[in-house]
Amino acid sequence: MSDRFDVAGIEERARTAGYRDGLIELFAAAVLLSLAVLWVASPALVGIGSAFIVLYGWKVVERVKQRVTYPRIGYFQERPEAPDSTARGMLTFIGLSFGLMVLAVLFSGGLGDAASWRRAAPLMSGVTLAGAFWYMGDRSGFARHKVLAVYSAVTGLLLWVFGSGESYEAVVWHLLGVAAPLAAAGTWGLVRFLHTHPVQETSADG
Amino acid sequence: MDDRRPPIAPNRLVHEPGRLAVLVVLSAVEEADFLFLTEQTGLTKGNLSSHTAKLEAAAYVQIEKAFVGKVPRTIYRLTDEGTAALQEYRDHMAGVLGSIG
Repeated sequence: MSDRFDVAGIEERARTAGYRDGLIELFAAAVLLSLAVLWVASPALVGIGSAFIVLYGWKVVERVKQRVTYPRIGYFQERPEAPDSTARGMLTFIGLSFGLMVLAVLFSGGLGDAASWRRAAPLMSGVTLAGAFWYMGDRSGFARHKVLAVYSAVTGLLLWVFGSGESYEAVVWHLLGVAAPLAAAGTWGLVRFLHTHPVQETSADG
Repeated sequence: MDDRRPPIAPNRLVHEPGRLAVLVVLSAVEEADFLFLTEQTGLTKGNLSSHTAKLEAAAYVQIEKAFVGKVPRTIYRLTDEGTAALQEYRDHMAGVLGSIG
């Protein structure tokens, strides 16, 4: 141990250890890319498809962590948040995002106008992802996640303001535009993690 | 009341920096193995084994031996008693530091 005993620093490092390997960012980027593909293939499949991707994709992340992360910094499980408050927070946020989308639709053409819904889709995507990245930033302590949250909200807003609503192309571009920096951050994080954390001997056990 | 009396002594089991580091790390995660604790605390294997044994004896930490495939893995978790002791220690130290300005 170093001479300086930093309790808050030790706690922060342990709490955010799950984000240092970049895998969660790569997973999130893969989810966004898959959603973009689903929007192009069939917008009706986006809901069920995203649930499927998140559910099974998370199992893939855990398997990769077992091969890449745990042999380097040890095994750990993050402390879960209270499921009730997490679910309540997510539903409230999605509800607010949807409410904002309805307001945008009303503002630009009315609820019966399909083009207005298509035009407002990137706004909903931008605000929903902004909430997710802000939450991620709170958990990880990384400023880049909060920058990404602002970037997502601003680009979603701009695509709504300047969009035509002729197709869902704008929401696809929004998802790709957010996935690209996320994938870059995840790749950089993973490469850095692999360089700074060599595999430890397997007998390092109590 | 005598203002010069020393403050009530902190829990010595928690006050030792190595054990405090172990408790703080375990309070931040649900569970962790030996390697994670050495990585996060910077303690040597010998020191960590000694500290976790004392914390287990005080029922502050629960230790579980398991196998992942053929590799042994020892899992450490903070118990309710450990959580309470750590919180009490934090409150105590905050009080002491607050009393000296």
